[in-house]
Amino acid sequence: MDCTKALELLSASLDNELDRASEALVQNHIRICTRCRTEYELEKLTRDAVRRTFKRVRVPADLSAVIAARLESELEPAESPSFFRAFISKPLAKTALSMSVAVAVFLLFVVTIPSTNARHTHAVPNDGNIIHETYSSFDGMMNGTAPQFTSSDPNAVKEFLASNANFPANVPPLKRCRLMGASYSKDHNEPVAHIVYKFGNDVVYVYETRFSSIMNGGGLNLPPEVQREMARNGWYVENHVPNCTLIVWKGDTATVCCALAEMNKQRLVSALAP
Amino acid sequence: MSTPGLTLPMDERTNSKHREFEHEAVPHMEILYNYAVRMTGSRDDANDLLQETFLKAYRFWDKYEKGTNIRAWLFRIMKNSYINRYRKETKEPDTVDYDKIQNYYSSIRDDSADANDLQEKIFGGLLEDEVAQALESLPEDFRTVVILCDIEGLSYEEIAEFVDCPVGTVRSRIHRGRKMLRGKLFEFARKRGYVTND
Repeated sequence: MDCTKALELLSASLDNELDRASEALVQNHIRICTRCRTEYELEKLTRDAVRRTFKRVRVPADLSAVIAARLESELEPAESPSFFRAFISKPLAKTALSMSVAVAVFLLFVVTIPSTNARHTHAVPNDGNIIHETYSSFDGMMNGTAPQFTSSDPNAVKEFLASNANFPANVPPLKRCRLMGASYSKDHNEPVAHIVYKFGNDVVYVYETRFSSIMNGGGLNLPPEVQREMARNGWYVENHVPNCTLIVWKGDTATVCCALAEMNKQRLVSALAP
Repeated sequence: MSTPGLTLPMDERTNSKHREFEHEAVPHMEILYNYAVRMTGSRDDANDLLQETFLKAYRFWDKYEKGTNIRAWLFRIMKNSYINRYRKETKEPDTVDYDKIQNYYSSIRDDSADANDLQEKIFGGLLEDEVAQALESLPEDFRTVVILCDIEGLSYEEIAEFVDCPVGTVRSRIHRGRKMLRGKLFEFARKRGYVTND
């Protein structure tokens, strides 16, 4: 090995970055070449001086806190408020009956009667868990008859539910969906509203009941892990059934809503946007 | 039973992105901070640079290719931020005639036949502050690899990924970088009177 080559590999040798063969060649060379050995020694001293001088420092706690806070503030882009706000804060649009044209109902709607031999069958226990109730009501709806009340006007549907289901249900005005209609029923002795929308050709179904129905040891319930997830994120999402997405959140007027549709999460989230 | 869901929920996608970012990017804050401190030579500037880097990384998180070297990705964001920030301020770009430097320091070596003598001259009365100044005086590309290698302790291969160039280039930059450092230290030694010109 000549000096040019040796000098080229000096740093790598010093940093243990050479394979054994090259390392041996470099070491052999610097043993016999004073100049290169001097270079090697000087480079080592320089490196060690740098290592000695600069110790790694920790990120100051207040700096990481500032960064965490700035990332948090990035989370809420002003132009795209969460769709839940429509449920929580937006008063329903005051519309007359002008738009309440009855729409042709393609979907067939029956409440809480799971059909065992139907196309839509989700095997769920009848245990009052509103997630299970939602699946089974969805199946019933997809295999059964029309909603009790058919209208595309949220106010009209809301009125229908208020007078029958006996609790103030939300009928969120979803901009991207067409409201098809609603039904009411009693599940495990608790009043329940069933609201149906269409998003493109897909059905978006919302199961809604009083929050107290699941909290006070009433007939309906919601598993603690789902409640924890809702407490943490404000909602709960699951994709346990292939091609199906279910989203649970807390509505205003002290209700709990459970939306189910045969679509992926992203599409359902976009369907539910206010 | 407690009452769930009283806080305003955030968009689910944003939320999972946030968790992912926290899990993948945030643990590398320290290495980036150290690099920022060494590059800028100032804690305040390093603070700004680190904040800018993490905000940018968060905004462009969907551009990060999963499974690739996250540290290298973050580092490149920081490097670009650094360049945008400080190149603007120093009107003169870093132009250095590296060959001249190389020759100059070769001549230093030639001047002294005795290695021990030279070592003593340069490193004998070395002050920490001088090492810091010497490092700061290095052109950016060289300072970067020296910091990554000698302070952060990265392998040549990872440095190559960080600075996006071949390992061979990293090797020669480290060698030249250390040589320039040594030259600087030699100058300091001369000023201190350890080394005389003749």
